[in-house]
Amino acid sequence: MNGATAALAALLTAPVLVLVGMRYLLLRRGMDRAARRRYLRRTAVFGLASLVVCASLFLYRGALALPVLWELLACLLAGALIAGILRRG
Amino acid sequence: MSLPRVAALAAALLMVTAGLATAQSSWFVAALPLAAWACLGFFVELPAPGLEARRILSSSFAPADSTVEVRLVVLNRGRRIDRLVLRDEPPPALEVASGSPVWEGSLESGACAEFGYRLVVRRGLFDFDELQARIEEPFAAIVRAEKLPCPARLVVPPRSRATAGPLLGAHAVRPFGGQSRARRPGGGTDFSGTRDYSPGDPLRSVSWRAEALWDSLVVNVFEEDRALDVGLILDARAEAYDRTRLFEAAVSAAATLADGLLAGGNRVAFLSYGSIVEWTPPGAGREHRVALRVAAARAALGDHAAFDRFDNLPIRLFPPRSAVLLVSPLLRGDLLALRSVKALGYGLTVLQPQARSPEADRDDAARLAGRMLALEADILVARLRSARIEVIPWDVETSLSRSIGLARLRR
Repeated sequence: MNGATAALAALLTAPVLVLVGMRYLLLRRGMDRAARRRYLRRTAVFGLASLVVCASLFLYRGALALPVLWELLACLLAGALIAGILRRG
Repeated sequence: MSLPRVAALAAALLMVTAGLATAQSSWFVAALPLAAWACLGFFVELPAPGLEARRILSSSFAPADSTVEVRLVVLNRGRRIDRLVLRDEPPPALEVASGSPVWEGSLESGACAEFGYRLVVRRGLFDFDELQARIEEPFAAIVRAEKLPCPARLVVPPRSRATAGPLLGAHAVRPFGGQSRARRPGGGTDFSGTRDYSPGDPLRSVSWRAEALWDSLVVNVFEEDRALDVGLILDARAEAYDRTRLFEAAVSAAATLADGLLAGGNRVAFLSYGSIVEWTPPGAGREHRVALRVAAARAALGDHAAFDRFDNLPIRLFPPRSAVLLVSPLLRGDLLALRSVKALGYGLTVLQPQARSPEADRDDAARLAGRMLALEADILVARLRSARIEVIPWDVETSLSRSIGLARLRR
């Protein structure tokens, strides 16, 4: 993995990190130190995992065809939807 | 689903659409973290709510225009909550003077959150119901809204005006002594007159001096004031009042008169006649005084087609031939209904609160209109008086006791 791939992966991970970071700034006054730490820890783990996944996908982008990614996303969304319905039921 | 998660999901879908449109896989890759974060909420579980709330009012019976402190204590019997927002909603008519009805923070298991605020209160009866609790998992943006019951009631009775109750008269009296205009011969101490002796009269009532003078047995007769059954009617028809201040004065006067009548040993019932009819049955004593103050606090202006005149006054609720005191500015159409009440044998007295309109001196037309209204009111009062209904006019800017004192002198 070269620097360009890592930078591109970081760029693609940025939207979610910006969103989560803005939420932190908004909510930090309503949380105690332990809650803030937990939030930051979860953000770091999630950001790192996103970065690794994005970078991995880029590393294999030559082999990764568009329909495969589409199927991956569809599976993820369908799973989430089913899980949500089951939980509410 | 919370708004941030919806936004993240929408952004992810937008990126997927862009990826499909441009056939660029990097859009899909960028959509993945957003979609994953948005779907995280389906798999993260919020702690089971175990919140208990308690509300403490510094006073549940407060005077008008004073401040009342509301304290809320919320105990967490469940798991730790990373972010909790508690929001109390005080009745809209009350103004928050200091403090905040909102609390936010983290709450450990077994810990208490305590917060409070001060309210400036005005006359009324206010019910506090629930406390809104918003339990959040901050990172996954999962929210659960709960309502924590913590009822409380705040009674703000009208301001009391210093006065004694008017002396009312009625055909029917109670067997007990009390302050009223109903004097009955009996075991009182006020000398009333003499009469011939009848068998069964106690010997101590025989006037020996009169016997020596007239050579026949004569007994002294004493009399005493008797307690009455008094029905107090507060006119709460919105049409009868041109401004709220006049109604507040009427409520205040009704509460004060009820206090005075109860203190005089009478039994008092209370009826508020407006959009609805609120009835407090007759009673006496300290507990009944509290019940009457609550009824006066609850009184509110309102309109209802059935109650726009006194024709539907449920006068039969009051004991027959008892005294009835009506607090009302009076409307033109009230004459017949009040005459009917009098004809049924009730001793009717009307306290008529009056206030000068601030627009009365605006111009000649307003002055003329004011003059005509005053003449109409005078005619109504004269007609009521000719029907032997006592009317006590009361300018709300002056003291109530002065108006009642003048009425006593007039009598």
